[in-house]
Amino acid sequence: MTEIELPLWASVPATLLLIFGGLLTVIGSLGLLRLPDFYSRMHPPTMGTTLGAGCVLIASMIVSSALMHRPVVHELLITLFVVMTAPVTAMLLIRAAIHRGRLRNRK
Amino acid sequence: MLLTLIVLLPFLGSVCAALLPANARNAESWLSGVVTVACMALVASLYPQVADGEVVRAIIPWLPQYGLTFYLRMDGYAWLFAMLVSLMGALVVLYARYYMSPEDPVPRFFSFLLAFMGAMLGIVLSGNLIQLVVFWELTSLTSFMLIAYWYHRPDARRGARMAMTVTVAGGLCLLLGALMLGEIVGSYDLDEVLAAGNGIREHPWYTPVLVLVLLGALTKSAQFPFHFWLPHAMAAPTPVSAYLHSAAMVKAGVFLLARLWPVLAGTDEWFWIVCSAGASTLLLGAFCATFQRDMKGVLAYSTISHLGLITLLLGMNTPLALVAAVFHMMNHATFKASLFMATGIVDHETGTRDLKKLCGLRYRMPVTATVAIVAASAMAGVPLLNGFLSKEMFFEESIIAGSESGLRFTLPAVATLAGVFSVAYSVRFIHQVFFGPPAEDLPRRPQEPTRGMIVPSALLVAACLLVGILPSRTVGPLLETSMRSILGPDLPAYRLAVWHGFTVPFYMSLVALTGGVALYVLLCFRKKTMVPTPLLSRLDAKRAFDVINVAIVRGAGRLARFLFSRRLQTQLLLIVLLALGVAVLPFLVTEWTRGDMPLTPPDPLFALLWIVGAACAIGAALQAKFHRLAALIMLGGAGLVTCLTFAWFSAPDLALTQIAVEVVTIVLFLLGLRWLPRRLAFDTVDRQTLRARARRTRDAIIAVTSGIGIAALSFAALTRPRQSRLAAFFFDRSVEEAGGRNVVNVILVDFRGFDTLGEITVVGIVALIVYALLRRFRPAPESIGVPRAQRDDVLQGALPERLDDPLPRGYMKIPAVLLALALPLVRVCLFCLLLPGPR
Amino acid sequence: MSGLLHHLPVMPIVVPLLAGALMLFLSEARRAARATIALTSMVVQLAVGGALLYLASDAAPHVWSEGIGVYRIGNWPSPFGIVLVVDRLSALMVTLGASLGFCVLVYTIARWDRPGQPFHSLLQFLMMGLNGAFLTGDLFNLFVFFEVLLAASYGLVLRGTGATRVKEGLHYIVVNLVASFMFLIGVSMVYGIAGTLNMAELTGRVAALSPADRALFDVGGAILGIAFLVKAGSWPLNLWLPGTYSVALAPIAASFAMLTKVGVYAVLRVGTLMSHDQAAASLLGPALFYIGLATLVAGTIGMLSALHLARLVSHSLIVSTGIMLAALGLGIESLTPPVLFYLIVSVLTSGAFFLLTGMTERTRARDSAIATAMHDEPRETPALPYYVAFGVREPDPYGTDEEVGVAIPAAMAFLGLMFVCCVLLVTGLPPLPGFVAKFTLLSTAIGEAAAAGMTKPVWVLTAAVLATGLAGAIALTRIGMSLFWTVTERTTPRLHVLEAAPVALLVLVCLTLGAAAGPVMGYLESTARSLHDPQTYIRTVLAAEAQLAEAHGASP
Repeated sequence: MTEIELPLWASVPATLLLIFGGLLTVIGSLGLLRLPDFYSRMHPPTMGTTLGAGCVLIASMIVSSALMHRPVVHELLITLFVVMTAPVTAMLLIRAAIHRGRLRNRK
Repeated sequence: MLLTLIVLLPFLGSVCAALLPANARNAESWLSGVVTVACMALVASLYPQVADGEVVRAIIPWLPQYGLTFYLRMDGYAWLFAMLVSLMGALVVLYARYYMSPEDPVPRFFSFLLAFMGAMLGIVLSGNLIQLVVFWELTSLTSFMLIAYWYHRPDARRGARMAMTVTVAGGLCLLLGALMLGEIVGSYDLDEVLAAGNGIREHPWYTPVLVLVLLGALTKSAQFPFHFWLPHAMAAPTPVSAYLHSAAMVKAGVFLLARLWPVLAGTDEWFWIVCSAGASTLLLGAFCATFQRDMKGVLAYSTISHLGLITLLLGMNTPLALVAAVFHMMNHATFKASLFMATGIVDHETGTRDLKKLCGLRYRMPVTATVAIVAASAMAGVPLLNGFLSKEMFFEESIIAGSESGLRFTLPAVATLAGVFSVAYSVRFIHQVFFGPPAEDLPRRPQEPTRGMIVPSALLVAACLLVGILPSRTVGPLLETSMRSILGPDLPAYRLAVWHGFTVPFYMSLVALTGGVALYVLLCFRKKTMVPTPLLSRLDAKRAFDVINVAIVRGAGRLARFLFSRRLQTQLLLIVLLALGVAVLPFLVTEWTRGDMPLTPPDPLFALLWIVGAACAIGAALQAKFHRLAALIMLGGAGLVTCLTFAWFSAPDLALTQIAVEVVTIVLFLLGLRWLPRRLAFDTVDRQTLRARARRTRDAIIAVTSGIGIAALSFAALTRPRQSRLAAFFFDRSVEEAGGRNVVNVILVDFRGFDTLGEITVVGIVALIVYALLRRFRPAPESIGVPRAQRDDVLQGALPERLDDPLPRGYMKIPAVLLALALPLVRVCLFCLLLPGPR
Repeated sequence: MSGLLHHLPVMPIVVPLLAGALMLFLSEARRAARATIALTSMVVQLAVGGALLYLASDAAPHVWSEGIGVYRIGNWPSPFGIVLVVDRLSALMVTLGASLGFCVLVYTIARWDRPGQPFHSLLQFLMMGLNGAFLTGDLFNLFVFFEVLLAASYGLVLRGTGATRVKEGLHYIVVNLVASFMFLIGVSMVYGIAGTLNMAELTGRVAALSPADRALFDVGGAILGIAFLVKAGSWPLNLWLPGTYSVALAPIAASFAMLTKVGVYAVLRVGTLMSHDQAAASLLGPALFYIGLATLVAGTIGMLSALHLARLVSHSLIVSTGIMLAALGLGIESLTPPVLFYLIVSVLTSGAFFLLTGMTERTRARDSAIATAMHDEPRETPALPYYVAFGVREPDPYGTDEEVGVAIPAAMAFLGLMFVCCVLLVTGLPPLPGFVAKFTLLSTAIGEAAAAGMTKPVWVLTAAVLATGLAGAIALTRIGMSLFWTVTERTTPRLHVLEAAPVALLVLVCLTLGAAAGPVMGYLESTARSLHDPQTYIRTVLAAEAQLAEAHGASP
């Protein structure tokens, strides 16, 4: 990998955001692993997909702007799409879980 | 030129005969008659040339690089046979005209008859060994069609198949023998083969060649142990039996033996093999003929016996025996064909051929009876007929050959014994049919047949008499010409005379005559004339043939089910195993070495990535059978790891493509899962049996080995310095000539754009197929409705009640609206992504 | 005109592609329009094939140097871009494929192309894949055209209904996917070791490899060979073949007869280019002969066990592949012309035979329970022979033959005649060209056995070939008799001229080839000569590279 020179105003926030986003995702995954129940397990990964991804994307915007010497904001679109679709998938998953719960109750 | 015409004319006639309408009996007969008589005339016209010892030739090149030419060759011997074949053909055509019933579809009959005649003439006039085999098989083919003329009869079909199997197998053996002979001599031309006699006899391949040629000849001429097809071939119409199975086709074998006599004969092997085959057939045929109930059966076995006689003569290794053999070939043809025709007449007029039922026909059919009696006497060897002459020569030769080979008494004894039986069955034949009180319960009232049917038979019988009384004037010169053409200057002196004096052969004939009559009287006395053949009737070739056939089909079926398993797993296992096996082969010779390039330092993150990827892949394989959803998810995981790899190695467009493909594939699989039937409960029982576990272990081992193998190969390939100049070329030319900044994209679109075109076509074709299939797709009615999982929600009001409502109700409304708004935006973004292309 | 001449090599690929694509725009009701486009495309392909044959032969030396035409796609120089190479073998195969395709198309137009099925487009794409595979000079491009070929064949196999058909189709698809996978592995190995995908350059590179590298290259070549063998239908990789080919519709099975030959062509082409000394055997080494022999034996057993004509013909196809592979595996160079002749005859014969099965199926008794049961039954349980099962009583054995024959209507007579011709061609019995092919093969093999040191394999092969002919004759006679000579209620089939004509045409072409065997073998011998002397091929294909190097004045 080539060496890139990043100015300080870009590298420090980007690093902090990346670490923060990574931490959030790790915590979310830990929660996914450890929580007892499906419905409570639904919540932690959303931390990773929304806030975690958001942090990474902001970091990416900062770094790209620094490298390209002009503002680069089209990662915002990604955020938009993720915010729109993540709840939808969550609702569909919960619906399937409800159905499975009902099936189990009937048995 | 004339020669080509002789062979070509019957085939042309055959084609014309096939095109005539179904009931044109007269037209067909006239056509066939003209063709056969024309052939006869052409052959006769060549006699002056042949009589001088010259060989008439006609050569048309066909495949000269491989020694296959269309080469027709007529010497004295071929002339004699050609004359015989065409003369018999003409007589049989005349006979068949009156024999065949008006409702029979005659085009087929005459067409194949003429084709057979053409093929027989081809054998006789052939000057190239391979060409001979071609015509040989052609006679088998036409004989098959003729025997099965009445194909609605099972015995006809069976007889035809039996004949075909045996003679085609013999023909293939003959082909191999001819190939080897050609290899020894260096050419397939008969001239060269005939000149290379000594070289062939001393070659190490002599015995195999001999055996193969003999197999061909003996199967064709129905010699022991291949004689069983001939009696069953009697299911053919009588004209066919008269022509093929007495005069022409079965003579092809002995014709070949005599033709190749200068080349193959003279050794001990020849003597022992041929003589034993001939002698056993001679006795067997004669014995069986005495106990047959069907008139044609008697004649069939008699033919077998006489062919055995000829074979025995040919095996004796002396030139005089050869002369006797050829002479008997001629004689036998005349009297046997005449007898067959007489049998056909009896059959035609009375409606049966059963010797038990027939009796005293001479009162109603005096002319037929006379003709038959004379012919049968020739068969028995009564003096003043041609059969007697050749029998005498046979007895004489048996004495000479016996004394030379140490079989001093055996051979003459065998000959006499055969003569006894031969007289016996001839007498029985005549006595049973024509003598005694007139029969009462025959299907039809017998009467004298039409002149057309009796004339051919009578002509042949007249020839028997003529040859018998004045041999040296009538047949002498012809015989001499033919023998001179085979033996050349070594032709021994012989005398064709009726009376040679009180010699031992004469006594033998006397013994045979009296013995035969005595045997018959004895049988009559003991009332044993109509018993099934003692000792041999249990060996029923018919049943054996059927049983063998079914056994072959069943056995082959079982084997084929094993060899061609229908299970997909077996096939895939075999592919992988074979690939593994073939890939290991080069490493048995050379060792596997890795290349010289230094290894890049391992990147722990990348390794981690691929450990995850490998786990996903293996997990997918393990779960695929029972937990389809889990397997699918892990498949997606493996795909994701591949995407990341592409991104890692700076190929962002590839990564993008890969991820798009992954998503689409997973979605499609999920949709497919919806229609698949649910996993059945009892599948789990199977999983833990030992067999299942062993099988899974086996599969796992093979999979792991293959994986390791490919890894090792890739490692070895990657550690070698890069050989390719392609990369440099692509880098250099990418920007200026192809106009793109991303080399990978440029390769895909420009340098190897043709490949991309092909792949796009593939995708298009598959889409087309899927579209066509879906249009016909009619899923099971119970699976069309709302899935079970969603039915509860219907009750709860979260979903539309019918599938075509635009919006769901309840809590699903919001996501639906959101997505409906978002999708056009997504489309625009995708479009923008795709547009820049290689740049 | 010279522009057209220049672009001739790519036309067999582009024309069917355009035709197939064009037909997709027409609505399905317009059968006549589709048929016209399809026929025009086929005729054009046939004409181009003939032109290529002419140009590649000695008759026109001034157009292409040394009889090999090179067409550079995108005009990139040879080893770097994709090339299409037309030599005698390619031209021959293209013409062969086009003639078979034409006959199949004419047959289909009679009654087999119901609307709602994209048959014509798929057939055109199949032809595109075939022609591309024959014409390409680049390994990966070969893979791509194999894919096109296979994709079109998937669609064609799945035509029609029935559980058996779908199951066999699925098996066919899966097996071919695995084979493509093997192909890819092989190609990547070859590229990794030799560094090029251009077949001509590959030969040069191979010769210069060190022994360790050569072993690796051989492994890649062997895996490649396995992929080709799966396509060619050699045992034990062809367990799918009898099932698939016997349930496919008749014209489709006939077009598939060409597909197995693509595998054999690939073995021949890639093998002869891989090494100078061992001809095609170099691709898999001595294993090729044994695989061929095993295929031969397995196919023969299959032929004896088959109860349906379609299945029998599929097995005879396997047998022909076995003979060709075994003969190629002997490594005797002078065997290549007979093998090629046998290939031509085999393709035309199998095509005619499959088309014939489409017509003879209609003669089956409508309401015979046995017949209907056996028609769709994939499990072949041999019952007693048909004629006994139908309960015809044996006539009086000593009785008369005062029987009257049964007249055959003209349609059955025609079918019977075609059947007999096909039997003779397939089993190699005289006097038809099947025999000529087998004879030349055996005679050359026996002649060269001692010189090549392969006496035992040659004798084994000879015995096997002759035995297979006999077995084929026995099996086919049995089936033929049950088809044409049984006595039950039979419906005389109504034959459409468009159905009968292609069969007759194919048989006639075979007969002409047999009669003109001398000139044909001459052409095939020069084909084989140029195959086994790859220097000309390499020189012509790579010629442009030298020119380009001069033009740019730099060494790549």
